[in-house]
Amino acid sequence: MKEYVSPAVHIIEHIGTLDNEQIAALSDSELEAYLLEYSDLAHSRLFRVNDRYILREIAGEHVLVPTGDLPGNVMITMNRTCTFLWEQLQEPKTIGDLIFAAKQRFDDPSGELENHIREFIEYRVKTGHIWEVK
Amino acid sequence: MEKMVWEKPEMNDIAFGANEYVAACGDGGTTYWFTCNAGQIDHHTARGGEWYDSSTWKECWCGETHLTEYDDKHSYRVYKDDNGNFGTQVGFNYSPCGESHEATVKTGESIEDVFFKGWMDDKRTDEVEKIEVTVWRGPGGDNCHCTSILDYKNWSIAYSG
Repeated sequence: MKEYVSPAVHIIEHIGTLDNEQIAALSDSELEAYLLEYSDLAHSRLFRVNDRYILREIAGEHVLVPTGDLPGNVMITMNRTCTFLWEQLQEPKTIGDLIFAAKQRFDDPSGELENHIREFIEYRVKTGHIWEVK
Repeated sequence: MEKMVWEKPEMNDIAFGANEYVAACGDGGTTYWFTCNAGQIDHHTARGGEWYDSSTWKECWCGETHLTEYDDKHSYRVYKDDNGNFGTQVGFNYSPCGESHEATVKTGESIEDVFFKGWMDDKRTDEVEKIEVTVWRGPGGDNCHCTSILDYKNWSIAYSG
């Protein structure tokens, strides 16, 4: 008997040259080859928070409190967009998921939303605040 | 739902000492930085200075020399506000120390009881000044600290838990 896995949907950005109808007409192997060629595979990578940081709200500010073997003399404040991403990443998400969700919640007059999210994930994986889910 | 404007996500580290961490994670209440700054500093009482009973020029801790005669002190009477008037006197020779103190409002306490409206009157003058201040009686409830930053919402919070 197979082990039950919660159903999950992830958004993978499409940056290729075919339109939706052309993509739908591809065979499975053609689609796989197409995605490998044009889709940044990083977009299918899943990320989530390092759950040794506990999110607390103190005096109106959202703060990460370290637990476990993390250094205990540093807390981390987050602005509202960082808090939003942290809340999203309580469950594994792709960068595409985060961008989609952020665009539902925020206006992006500067056009920097996608770059900010990519940079945030890339940097915070290096610092250990965000984990990549294998 | 109205959308908010996107801003660059930011995380900022706050480093703190062990005592503050423990207080933030269990004691409850909010601790403010109460700046004791109302009135003119009496250089000869702030920071453990001495009282003098003769008219003598003395070198002060600030590096300047001051007249130390008692009547030249900057000190104030402090009263609790009573509907815009002088109420109970809570300070008899108050002078600001210029320091910021950790002032805690415990869980369940009313902030208006801990930090209350008051009035200062300069003892050096014959006029009755009515200088509005916010008063804190200190951790033991038996002292008198006054700040000219009247609204606690403008104070910094040391920690909250």
